[in-house]
Amino acid sequence: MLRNVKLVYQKEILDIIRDKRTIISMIVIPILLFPLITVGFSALMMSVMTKTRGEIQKVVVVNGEAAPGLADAIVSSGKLQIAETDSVEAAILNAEIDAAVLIPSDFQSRLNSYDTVSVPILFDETESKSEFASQKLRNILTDYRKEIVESRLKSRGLETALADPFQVKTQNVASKEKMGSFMLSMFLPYIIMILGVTGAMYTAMDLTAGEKERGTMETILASPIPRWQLATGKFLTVFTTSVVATVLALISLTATMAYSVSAGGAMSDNIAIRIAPASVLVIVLMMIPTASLFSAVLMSISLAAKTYKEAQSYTTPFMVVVILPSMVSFIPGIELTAILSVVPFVNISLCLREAMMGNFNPLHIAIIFASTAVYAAIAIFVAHRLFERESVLFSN
Amino acid sequence: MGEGGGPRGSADFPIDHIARRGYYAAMIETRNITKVFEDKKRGQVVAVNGVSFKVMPGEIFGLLGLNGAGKTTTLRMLAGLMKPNSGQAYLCGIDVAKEPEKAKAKLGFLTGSTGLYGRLKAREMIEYFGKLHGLDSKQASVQTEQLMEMFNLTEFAETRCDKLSTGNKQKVSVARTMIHDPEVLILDEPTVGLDVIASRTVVQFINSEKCRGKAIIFSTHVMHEAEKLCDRIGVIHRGNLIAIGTPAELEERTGAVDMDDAFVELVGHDVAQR
Repeated sequence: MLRNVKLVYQKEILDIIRDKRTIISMIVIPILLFPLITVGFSALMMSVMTKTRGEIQKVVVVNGEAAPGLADAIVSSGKLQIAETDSVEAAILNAEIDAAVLIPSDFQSRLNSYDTVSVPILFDETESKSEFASQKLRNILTDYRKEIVESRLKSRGLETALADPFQVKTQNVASKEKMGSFMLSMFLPYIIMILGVTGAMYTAMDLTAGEKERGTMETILASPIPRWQLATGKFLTVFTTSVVATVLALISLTATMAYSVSAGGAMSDNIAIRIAPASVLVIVLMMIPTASLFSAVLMSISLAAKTYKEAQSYTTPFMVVVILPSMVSFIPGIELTAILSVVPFVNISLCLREAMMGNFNPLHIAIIFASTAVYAAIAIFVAHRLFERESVLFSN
Repeated sequence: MGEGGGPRGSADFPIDHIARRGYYAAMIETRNITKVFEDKKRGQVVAVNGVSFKVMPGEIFGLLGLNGAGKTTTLRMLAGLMKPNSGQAYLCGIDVAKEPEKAKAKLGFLTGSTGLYGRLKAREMIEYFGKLHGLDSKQASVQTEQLMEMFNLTEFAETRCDKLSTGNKQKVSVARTMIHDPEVLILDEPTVGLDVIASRTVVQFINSEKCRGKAIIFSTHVMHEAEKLCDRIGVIHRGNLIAIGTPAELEERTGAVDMDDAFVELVGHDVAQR
C-alpha cells in the first residue's frame, strides 16, 4: 500500500526534476526573485532619485521685486533656476517650468504692518520634478522667513531663541531587530502564499492534465494500483514542490534582506534582520496545511482540464484568489479576529505576520491551523474523488 | 483464486477452480456489457450495447471495428478503466468492476492512446511498471533487461522515451505491457508505426505468447494481419457485436475472398446507408 504510494512518488519526483519548467518554478524563481527585485528596484530608485535631486528645476517668482533678496536666495541656493512666463499654471502643467511662488504685490507693506502674509507655491503633484522644486522652494522660503524673524528680534535687541523656545524630536524606541521583523512581517506572509502556489502549479498541471494530454494517464490507470494510491503519490509530489519553493523563497528573502541591511546605507542604522526560532516554528507549522490546500486545489482544478494549456487558464484565476487575500499582510491595523481566523488565506497571512512580530496567540494559531487543515482535507478528498471519475479522467 | 503473475512460463491459471465456480476456462469474458455516456449535446449515447464474447487460453481474438465503433470503450471496460453500466467483464474469472486491482494484475494493456513518460529513460519506464505490478527491484531489472534484449532495445535503455523513434517507442510500450508476464493481453494496434522487421518481431512475440497459453485480444486496422494472426474475430459496429467467428467462417458467411472484403461486407452496407 505505502509501497505503491512511495513508488509513484519517487517516479513523479524523478520525472519532474527532469522538467525545466518545474526547476524554474520550484527552484530558480524562489531563489532569484528577491535578490533581483531588491537589486533592480533599489538601483532604479537610486538612479531616479539622484537624477531628480541633482537636477536644477525651473521656477518662476511672480512679483519677485516685492520680496527683495528672495530671488537672490533662490539663485544662490544653486538648486533652482529662475525662469519667466506669463501664465504660470499652464506652464507648470505643460512642464515648461516646475514650480512657481506667488509673492503678493503688497508683500513688503504688509510685512511692515506685521500682517501675516500668505505666499502660495504652485506645483504639480503628479510630477516628481515639480514636487522636488516645490520642496526646495518651501525650504528657501522658510529660511527667508527665519531671517525676517531674526532681523525683527535683533532690531528690538532680543535673543533669537525667544521665538524658538523648544524643538520637537521623535525617537523610535523599537529595536533594530523589531524594525527588521516589522519589515519581514509585511512581505513574508505574502511571499509564502505566492511561492507556495506558483511552486505547486506547474507540477499539479503536469501530473494531471499533462498526463491526459500525453496519453500516460490511461497507461498508469491500467496498472493494478488503486487510484487513491496513485492520487496520493501525485499529491505528495505536488506538496513537495510547493514546500521546496516556499522554503527556498523564505531563505532567499531573509538572506537578501539581511544582506541589504549589512551592506550599509540608511537601512542598516535602523534595521537588523533576526528571525526568532518560535517564528520559524509557526511558519513551518502553517506551511503544512497551506501547501496541502494549494496542492489539492490545484490538482483538482487541473484534473478537470484536457490539456496543459487548458489547465493553465483554469489555475490562473486561483492565483488571484490566493494573492488578493494574502495582501492583507500589507494593510496595517488589521488584527486577527475570530472570524478572520477561519477566512482561508487571510488567516494564514495574518497569522504569519503576527508570528514574525513575535506575537504568539496559541488560540489563534490553533484555530487557524485547524481550519486550514479542514479546508486542505476537503480539497484532498475532492481530488481523490475526481481520480475515481471516468468523465474526468477520460474527458475525450 | 491463486495469486497469478508467477515466474515466466508457468501458466498458473487454476482451471479446475474456475470450473468449480461455474465458468468455462475463458480467460477473458464479457457478458452483455453496456456502456452509456452522457453527452451534453446528444444526450445519452450508447457506446457499447450488450457485447458478449469469450477468449480462451492460447487464443488470439481479433476485435475489429471502425473508429468510434465502441472498440476502445469495450477494451477500457475490460481493463478496469471504465465501469460498465450493466453486464460484467471478467479477466481470469475475476469480475473487473468488483476487484479491479486483482483483475488488472493479470492483464497487459496496450492501446493506441497509452503513452510513455517522455522524461523517463526506456529502462526506467519498463522497470516502473514492473514495480507497479508488484515485482521487486531486482526482478523488475532482470525482466526489463530480458525484454529489452528481445525487442532489440538494449542500446536505447538509457535514452529518454521522448527521444526515441516512433517504432522504438512502440516497442517500449509493448515491453512495458509484458513486464509482469501477464496471463491476459489486450493489444490495440501494437504494430502501428513499426517497420516490417520490428512489426514481425512483435507479431512473432504475440504468437509465442499464444503458445504459452496466454489469452490475447488483438485489434488492428491491417486486415491481413488480423486474418493471419487471429483464431477468431469479432466485428463491432455502432456498439454492437455484429459478427463473431474464425476468419474463414466470416469470409464464408459474407462470401468474401479475404478478411478485408468480409469486414467491408459486414459493416459497409450500414455505412453506405448513413
